[in-house]
Amino acid sequence: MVVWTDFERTAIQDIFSKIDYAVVGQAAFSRCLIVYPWTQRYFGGFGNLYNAAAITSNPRVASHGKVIMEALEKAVKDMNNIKATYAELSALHSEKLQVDPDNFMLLGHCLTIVVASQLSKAFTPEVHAAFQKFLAVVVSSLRKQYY
Amino acid sequence: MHRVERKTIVRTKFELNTATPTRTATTCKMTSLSAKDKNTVKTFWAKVAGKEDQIGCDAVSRMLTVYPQTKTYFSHWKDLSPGSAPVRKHGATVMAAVTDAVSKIDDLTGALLSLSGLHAFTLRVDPANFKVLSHNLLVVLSTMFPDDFSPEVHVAVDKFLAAVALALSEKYR
Repeated sequence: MVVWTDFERTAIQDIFSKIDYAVVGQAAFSRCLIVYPWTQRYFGGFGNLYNAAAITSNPRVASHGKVIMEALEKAVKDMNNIKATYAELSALHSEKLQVDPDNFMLLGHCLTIVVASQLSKAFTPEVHAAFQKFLAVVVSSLRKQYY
Repeated sequence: MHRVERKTIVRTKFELNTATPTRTATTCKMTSLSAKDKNTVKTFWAKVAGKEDQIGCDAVSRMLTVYPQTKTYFSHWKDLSPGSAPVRKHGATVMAAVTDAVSKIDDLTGALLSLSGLHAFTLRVDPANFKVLSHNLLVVLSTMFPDDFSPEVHVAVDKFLAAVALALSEKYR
């Protein structure tokens, strides 16, 4: 059972209230495909991912980035039950999508970097630590149904 | 049958005696830096000039706060809080070394040989932590240079820091 301090809860909810899901989602997901190109293996049907420019302007990448942010919001809305919230998504990523779970934190890193660029000074080391903890819990929950 | 076996053994011995290239940053495909990568890193680093101390301090502060396991290497410091005097000093030291590595980007292994010895034999830092500090450096660069730290710059700098980490690991075993 994850224990969140008041500071951590506030920090996470504050971040998600400030960011534009479409903008941050597109930026983080496209960054992941560019910086860690092997992650492209899961998106063969997304069309042109040939280079950074193509990825950045790809509409399917943009819409999928938003989907990811909306899925993360579910965890923010119910921080005491993240494991249960992601039980179905975990099974999906394991059984149907067959994503190597080591990739989850790669996307997490890119999301941290995009959020950092958006929030700038407000993304203090303490807020950063709270966000990292949140991502670690999300990733752990997504890994739960793998066998 | 016996003759065929002997031939195979001799061939194997020959292969073993052939000098294998020493493992340098450039022979590892994951982190070999293209000319474009090196250029991108150098161009971006020119923008960073003057802010190295601030970047280093922020990166080390974040590393200690966000990944508390890294504090184990600094138990001799009086104050491990973000922005403290030892943190500031160490951040400056680290960034000076990274900036120097940028100027010697064509031979990172050579440039970092003595620092590698220091980390391997004296400090004995688990090399997994190099990735942690690298990530925190990227986060700081992202906060301070949001317009310049594009995905293309991000991947080049990430590759560069991975090459630095590899060069730092050279003397471990």
